[in-house]
Amino acid sequence: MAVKVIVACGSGVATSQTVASKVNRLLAADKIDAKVEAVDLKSVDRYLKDAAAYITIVRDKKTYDLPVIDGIAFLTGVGQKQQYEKLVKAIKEYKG
Amino acid sequence: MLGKEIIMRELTAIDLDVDNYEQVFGIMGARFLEKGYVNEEYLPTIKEREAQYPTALPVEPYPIAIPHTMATAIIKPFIAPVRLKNTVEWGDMSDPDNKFNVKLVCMLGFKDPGEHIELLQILMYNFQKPEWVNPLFEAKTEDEFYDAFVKMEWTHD
Repeated sequence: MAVKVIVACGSGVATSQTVASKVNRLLAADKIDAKVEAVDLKSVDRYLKDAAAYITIVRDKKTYDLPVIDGIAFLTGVGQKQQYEKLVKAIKEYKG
Repeated sequence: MLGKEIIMRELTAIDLDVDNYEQVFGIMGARFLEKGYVNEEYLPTIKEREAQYPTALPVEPYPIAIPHTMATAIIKPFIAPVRLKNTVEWGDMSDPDNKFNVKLVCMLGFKDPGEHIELLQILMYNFQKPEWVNPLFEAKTEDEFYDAFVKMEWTHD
């Protein structure tokens, strides 16, 4: 089964879905079996339980048990390569 | 998918003389309403949303704001390209404690939840290209600004 990655933004609509779509395309191009899901920030904790990584749009001060990736990089392209590499590493190291 | 026709000449503005981002919403929101692009929900909801979830992005070389609100406030989909006379402080989407000095605002009105995903990616793709962005800052008239804006490549990577 594909590894799950979560992306969340305030509304769970515009920005997170845009990032999800972009990252899913990058992963598919590299034949990495993972699926990015866009969710509402309010319900994010529930989804993170069985996810390999968390792509954030809004940085918060909480700490998480899983790798956190900067989602804005996928919107702006600035630092995208580093964030993508971090994500791929998290997916490959994910034990479920 | 929507095409370039949603970049509206009649919603294009340059040298908008404002002191803060709320005034951008006030001036442009009144125009959107008058021309039938939005309903009365637009102005209160965009202000509320921007305060809660700011929309300036640190694209290089210039930060760009992409304010948008809920689909129920939109009557006709649009992209309104706006250049301010002077930069104003605009909240950073990624960090509630940070602000950017923004001069270029891309106001978005989308109705269908699906359509913004493609369009946002197209915008982001172009925002990263100095050969498209620089002429936007150099344009001397609204027509020049609009012409430069619609030259964007209607694609994304």
